[in-house]
Amino acid sequence: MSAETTARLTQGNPLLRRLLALGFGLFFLVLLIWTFPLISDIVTLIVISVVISYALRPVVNFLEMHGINRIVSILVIFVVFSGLIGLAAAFIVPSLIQQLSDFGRTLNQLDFAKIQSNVVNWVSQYIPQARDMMSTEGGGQDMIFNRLRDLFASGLEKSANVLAGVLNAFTLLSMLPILVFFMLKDGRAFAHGFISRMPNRFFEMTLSLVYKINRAIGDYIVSVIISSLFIGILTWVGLLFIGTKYALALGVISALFNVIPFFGPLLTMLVVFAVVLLTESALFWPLIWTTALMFTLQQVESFVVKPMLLSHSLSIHPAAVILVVLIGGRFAGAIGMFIAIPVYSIIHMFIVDLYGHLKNYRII
Amino acid sequence: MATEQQIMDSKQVQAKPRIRSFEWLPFRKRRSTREQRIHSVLSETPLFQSIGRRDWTLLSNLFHDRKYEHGEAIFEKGMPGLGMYVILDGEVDIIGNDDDDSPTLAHLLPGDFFGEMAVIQEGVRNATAVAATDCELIGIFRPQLRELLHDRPRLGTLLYERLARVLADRLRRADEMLLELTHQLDGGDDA
Repeated sequence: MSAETTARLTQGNPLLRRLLALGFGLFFLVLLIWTFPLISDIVTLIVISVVISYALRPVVNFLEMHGINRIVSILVIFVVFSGLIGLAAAFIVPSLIQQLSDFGRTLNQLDFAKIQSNVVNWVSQYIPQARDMMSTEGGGQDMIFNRLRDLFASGLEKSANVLAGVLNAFTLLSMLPILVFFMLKDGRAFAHGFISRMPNRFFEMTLSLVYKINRAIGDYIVSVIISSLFIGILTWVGLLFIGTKYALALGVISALFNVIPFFGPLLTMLVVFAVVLLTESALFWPLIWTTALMFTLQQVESFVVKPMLLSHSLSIHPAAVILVVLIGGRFAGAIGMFIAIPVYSIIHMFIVDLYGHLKNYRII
Repeated sequence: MATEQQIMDSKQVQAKPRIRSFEWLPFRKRRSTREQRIHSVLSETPLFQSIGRRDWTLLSNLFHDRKYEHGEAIFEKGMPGLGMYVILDGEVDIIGNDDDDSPTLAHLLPGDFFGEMAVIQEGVRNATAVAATDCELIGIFRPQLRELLHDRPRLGTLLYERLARVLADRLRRADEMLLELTHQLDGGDDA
């Protein structure tokens, strides 16, 4: 090997290159933070489109593998999913809205004194002194129930705001099918074009990184969607079987909250217990059955469903979960809160893999 | 003997050529200049002989076109290997190490390919490839071939089978060389 070749292999000033790369990175980060409030809707729309396209991609690939043209495959899936959404709109959504509005009405007309007496009666069956204690501290007890009522009232108000936000986002969401179509149709070509434009030194690293992350993101999104659907459907069926009111609404809430690790299942449990407390007159068995159901579902999801779908789950510290969800909410409202954890996971995977690749390819 | 076996092997690997009776039709999509150029070089290599037109279009969309300047490293020994390269134009040196004293293991010309072990096995490169002149290469990589194997099992299996035969052929030749060297060493010891 000639000296000229060696000189070419080691050409350039590494420190200057790193400083330049760092400078560009910081510049784009500042630019992103500065412009984010202006384009947060569009970013959210793109993120949702990416999530949907990743979720549908295995189905498109499957159809294409069986000899169906990619565009035809995408259109077939669009027609099938439109049909499914139409069916859901016809059969499930009215019932869901009915359940939610009934629940809201129940909360408004709620006889907190009755719940209070239910709880006091139930507790005093096991602790006879409790009745005296609770009656002597009536002020505190009232305060607790008043606070509970305020909490639910504010929760409902926030839900209304969330609904308003979703409706506002509806205009932007009408662009969703178009974006998803092009992401499914040209996703590979985009990736291929992006990789091809990389300088030779970064080419193999970028190619490896893009494919690895692409696969990890795809697996992660599909696993989250499937496990959420699993939890949602089983919660609905289980609660229906137990005889809890608003089972469908609770199933939907459970599926949505399941996206948030640690706190999602806890939040679901809180909502389900609140519904049981507010709607059932005899509390003991409904509470026992509900607890058993929720606990079993979470165990099955954690130890059976997720390991089957994902070879390794991403571990996020509970404190990080809270922080990430709050940041997601600040940037993109209710939708931001739900997509915050998947987006964080994707960024986390990207950074970890990028660092590993930069080391392996001797770039840093 | 080995040569006859290789010829028989290469005949077995060749796929049946597709019927191309409609290629004269005016509305039929014609090959792009890039596709024609890639086809003219790659169809001569044992990996891509006798591949049908439709499969060819699909394959050429998977390939990555790369250009390297004289003396530029294509990949270096010890780096993770991801795929193989076929030379479209120019020449490539395969060397043992990055240092000046390292001997050139092979000097490759248009139509030759290198780095194919990385397509089969995940691991690090065991040699460095450097552009001996300004050159144009076609890169074919493991993740894409795996996707191909999944999406188009027939074509994917055909390529993997051919690749396995190329590697088996090289292993057979290496064994022969090793045997020859052992004989030479034994002869030297006896003398």
